[in-house]
Amino acid sequence: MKKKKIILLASIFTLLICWSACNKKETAIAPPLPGNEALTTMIITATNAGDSTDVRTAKWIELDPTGATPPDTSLAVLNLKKNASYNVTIQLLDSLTDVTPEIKDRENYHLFCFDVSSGLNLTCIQTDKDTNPTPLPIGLTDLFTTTAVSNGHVEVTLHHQPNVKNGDCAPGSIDMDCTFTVNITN
Amino acid sequence: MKQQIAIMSLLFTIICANNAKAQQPNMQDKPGFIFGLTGGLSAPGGNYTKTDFNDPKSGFAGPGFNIGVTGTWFINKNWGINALISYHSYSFKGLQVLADGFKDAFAIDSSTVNTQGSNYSMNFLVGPYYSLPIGKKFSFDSRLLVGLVNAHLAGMQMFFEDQAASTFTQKESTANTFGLQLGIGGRYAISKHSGIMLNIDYFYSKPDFSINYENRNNNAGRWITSYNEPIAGLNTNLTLYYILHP
Repeated sequence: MKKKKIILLASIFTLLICWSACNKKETAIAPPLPGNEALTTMIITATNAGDSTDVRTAKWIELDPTGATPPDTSLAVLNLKKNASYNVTIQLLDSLTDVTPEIKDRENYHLFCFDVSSGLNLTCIQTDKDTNPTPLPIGLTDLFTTTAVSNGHVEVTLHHQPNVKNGDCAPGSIDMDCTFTVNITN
Repeated sequence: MKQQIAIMSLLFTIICANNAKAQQPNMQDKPGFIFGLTGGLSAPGGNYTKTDFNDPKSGFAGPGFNIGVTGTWFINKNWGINALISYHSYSFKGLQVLADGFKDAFAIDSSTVNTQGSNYSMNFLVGPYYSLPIGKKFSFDSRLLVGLVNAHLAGMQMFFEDQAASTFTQKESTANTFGLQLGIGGRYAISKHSGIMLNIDYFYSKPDFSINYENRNNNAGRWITSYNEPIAGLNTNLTLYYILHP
């Protein structure tokens, strides 16, 4: 009787150990949530570095996140003086909510890029830096520099670069893509 | 590893069975040497088991098991020197918190956390052992062990579904440190040479892990470069032992 008990106990013990010794890999998935809000509005405010009263504003609006309705570009026009430097700030809205602070909070994987059309005498440089191990530009504040009189467009894109931000515009995906008309005048 | 454990346990079964013949145990006799196979549940606590994404002390470890071999050489009827070689393994806890946390921290659509390796430690401990016989078949035992602990922290791969190039890995890490184990138990003699013991042990070690990453580029979400929190808790074990009398 005792012998049987011992054998039973030891067998249970053996089974428990073998079962426990299995090395199980585990996985957890955070699935996508439907109905993420879209960015609807980009506002560029340009202040002349040499004349603080010279403040220019341009607004690009797209209230239909599906893209079925074209964006409202009636206010997406930036008139700048020639041979001037402008301190620029970019503000983003989600409908009426200012989401610029959220982008600031997520600066380490967001980047604004500027694509200036040929013939437009404008250079755009991001002036703010994020807090990555090697600080990289963000673009919420920028320096626009004009030279000769000209007209054209500047395409402003907000790039979402989770863990791939390296200072270039290529990695990641685009959260927002807005094109502004720029007139450089006397 | 599993096969070795199974073979050892089966050998012990045979030994126990052979010794279960009509030999009468007597706890009042001075044992010479006790050899035991031990195993049971390990329940760590403290920061090691916390699952707060924003707290770098969180270890995301859960309960697990331990197995080991133990030997006690008795100096007299009550006192002996005990040695223990054991393997502790701990499960994962709160992986969903990590997946959700990285999804939010990087503002991505979906993320997956895959564990790499496991949380475990190898313990090499030695220390005094005290046995208080109560009757012929039962004794109350206690021990305090100190020694070396080789601890291992599991790695994790964070996969971002909408940005596959963003995938990064927290590499597995190993650290050596000192540890201790303090336990009490009841030992029951089945025969003159064999028996079982139920024991509860408190275990403690504080390894200093260095954490390295692969393809970790941007500072967002949980990013730890070291982990130096106690791995401490309770073991609840069953030990099958064999006694060699002097």
